[in-house]
Amino acid sequence: MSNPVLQACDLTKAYGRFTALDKLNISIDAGQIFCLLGANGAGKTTTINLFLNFISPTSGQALVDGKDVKKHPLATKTELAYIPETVNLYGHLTGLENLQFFTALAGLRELSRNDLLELLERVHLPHAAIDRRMGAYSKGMRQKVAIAIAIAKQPKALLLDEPTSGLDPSAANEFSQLLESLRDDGAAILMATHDLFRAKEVGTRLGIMRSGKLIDTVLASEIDHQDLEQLYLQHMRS
Amino acid sequence: MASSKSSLSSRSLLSLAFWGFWKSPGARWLCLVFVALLAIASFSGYRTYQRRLSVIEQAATLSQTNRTLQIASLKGIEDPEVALGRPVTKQERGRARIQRIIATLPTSLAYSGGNFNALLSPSPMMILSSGASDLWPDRFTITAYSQRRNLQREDIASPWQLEAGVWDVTTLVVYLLPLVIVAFTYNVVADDRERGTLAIILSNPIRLDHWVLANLLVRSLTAIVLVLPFSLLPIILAYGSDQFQTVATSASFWGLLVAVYGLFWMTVSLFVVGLGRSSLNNGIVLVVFWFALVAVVPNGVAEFAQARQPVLSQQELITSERAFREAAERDGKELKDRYYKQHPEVKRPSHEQDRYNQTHWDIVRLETDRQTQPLIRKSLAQVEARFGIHRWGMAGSPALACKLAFDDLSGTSVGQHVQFCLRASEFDEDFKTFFQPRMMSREELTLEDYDQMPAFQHQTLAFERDASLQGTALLVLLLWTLAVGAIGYRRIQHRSHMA
Repeated sequence: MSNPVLQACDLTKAYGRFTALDKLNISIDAGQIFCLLGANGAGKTTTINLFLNFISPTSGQALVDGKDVKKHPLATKTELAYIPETVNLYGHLTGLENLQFFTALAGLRELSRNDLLELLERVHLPHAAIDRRMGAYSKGMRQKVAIAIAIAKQPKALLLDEPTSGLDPSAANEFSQLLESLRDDGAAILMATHDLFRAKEVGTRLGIMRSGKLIDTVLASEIDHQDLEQLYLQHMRS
Repeated sequence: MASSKSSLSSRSLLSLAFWGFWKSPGARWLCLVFVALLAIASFSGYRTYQRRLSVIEQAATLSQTNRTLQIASLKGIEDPEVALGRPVTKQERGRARIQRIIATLPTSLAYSGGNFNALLSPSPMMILSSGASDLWPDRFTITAYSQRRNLQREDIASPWQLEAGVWDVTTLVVYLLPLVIVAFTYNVVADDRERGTLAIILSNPIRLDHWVLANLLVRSLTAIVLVLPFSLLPIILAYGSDQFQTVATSASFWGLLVAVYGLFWMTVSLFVVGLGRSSLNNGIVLVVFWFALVAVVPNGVAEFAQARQPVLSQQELITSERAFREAAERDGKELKDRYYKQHPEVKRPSHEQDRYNQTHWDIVRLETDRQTQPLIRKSLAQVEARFGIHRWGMAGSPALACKLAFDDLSGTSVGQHVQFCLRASEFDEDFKTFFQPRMMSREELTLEDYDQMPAFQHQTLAFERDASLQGTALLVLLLWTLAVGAIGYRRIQHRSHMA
């Protein structure tokens, strides 16, 4: 039995009488993509924020590589990479400079310019854009730089919050391919998304959330697109 | 690609924070503008210092030359070139003739300007702070009628002196350095949060409080480091002089105060950043702090001091002096008789010796000066008391503490000028004690008299420091920095989830 890289054990977050996340239990192994599906306010982003230790759980534990993020915030973050919904890196810096800055923040100061160029090549950032200021980048291009940062960290776990929101189909497709390559490298990936199609395409397991609860989990390989949509709508209506 | 993951060391965090700051739009421009303003202020300070030094040196040289010519005359040396040991101009030759004539005449010598001066030589530190030097005299011409003469000095309010006070490095440090630090730091964390980069930053093994401190530190230190090289200017100017050690110590302490003052403003930013508001909100709150601590409190202290210690105006002093003179002129004969009665050792001159009744006018003027003196001293004591209130006021404003300490280090503080005036006043008394009996007897001066003539001994007053004021200023700055810093740091620690 393999050790899960990401694990939520009765993870709960309440704000006063409002429960944003209610006893969530999930575990994600290396090389798996777990997609959290759900409407706005379902608790997807709260889950990711708890894994990042941006908020403290009311009860339960969020574990990264077996370590409680509350007790070991810095140690767990060395194993994590995070891509938010809107990637707004520094517009006054070039893509390359942003990559240099954020990889250095991750403690990867020894990366050479060639290493950084290699990373940007791997995420298919157009060569002409590399030395252009990021303020002129499209959302897809910014997302690619964010993935390059994540790849550079060689994380055990990757947390993605609505990463394909606002991307055109071609960019979203490219993003999926990059995600799959990260999965194949052995990363455990937790992705919060509204995009059922993309979730089915890349996900290993799909979890449907409503009102802070994980109400259903299915294997992506055992369900087709239409059935997934039906299941999702059914849960949202009930 | 070979890479290894590790938490950032403090040094790496600082260098990364600096790299990010240096690349941010406007940072380099603001640095450039600030340095340009400091350079202009330094140049202005240098010109003011040079002009003051030149005036003081001219006065000292003139006084020394006159004395040499007078002594030479008493020794029977008539040729000024022989007396001075150098070629002289036609103009100097004319002046030498006058000095030969008045050399033995106590009344003429006592009324003549250019022979006795109380001079305050400027310290090269004045380049950094012209302080109160545009409002207070740095030289007094001591004569038998000094008070009158010094009360009516026009050069104290002359345009070139007034231009010195406003645009100096100290003003820029006290007023502008905090604003530069505010401009550099108001958006620390808030900007990243608004941009959405804070979440990505904090998804790395970095503590929020460390990230905030690293950013505040490098930005504040950048502003401080821009100022510090200017403290070298006085050291360079003083190099090789007797006062080098003193100036170097003062300049070093000046630099230390600048650094602590800058760090104080960093802690104010830390406190405001800890509130967790937007960049705009932070900017507004910081400007309010700046306005309160740099403008409102110091002005409040000044108003309070003025209300508690109202100082006699120049106009009131002149009006009183006129009244004393009128009374002395009216009672001149009586005053003269009383003088000779009270001073039997002073031989009353015969009518032949005093055919123009000069002793009458001497006693009138000496009596006027004698009565004016206590008023001037009282006025100076009030200014000193007012300055004392300002010293207490330092506790309420680090800006005021800095300003007073900087002026004191530069030899241009109100306290130093008051001390100079008081010592000039003492010299004036010594001068009159020496000359009055000789004027009233109209006996000729001898070489022995020249040996006994008083001289002003406090030319280096501007180089003296008030250790208690300096210590208090540093203590005030440190206490404010530690107190605000501790509160700010606690706030940041409590906001570890600002992403």
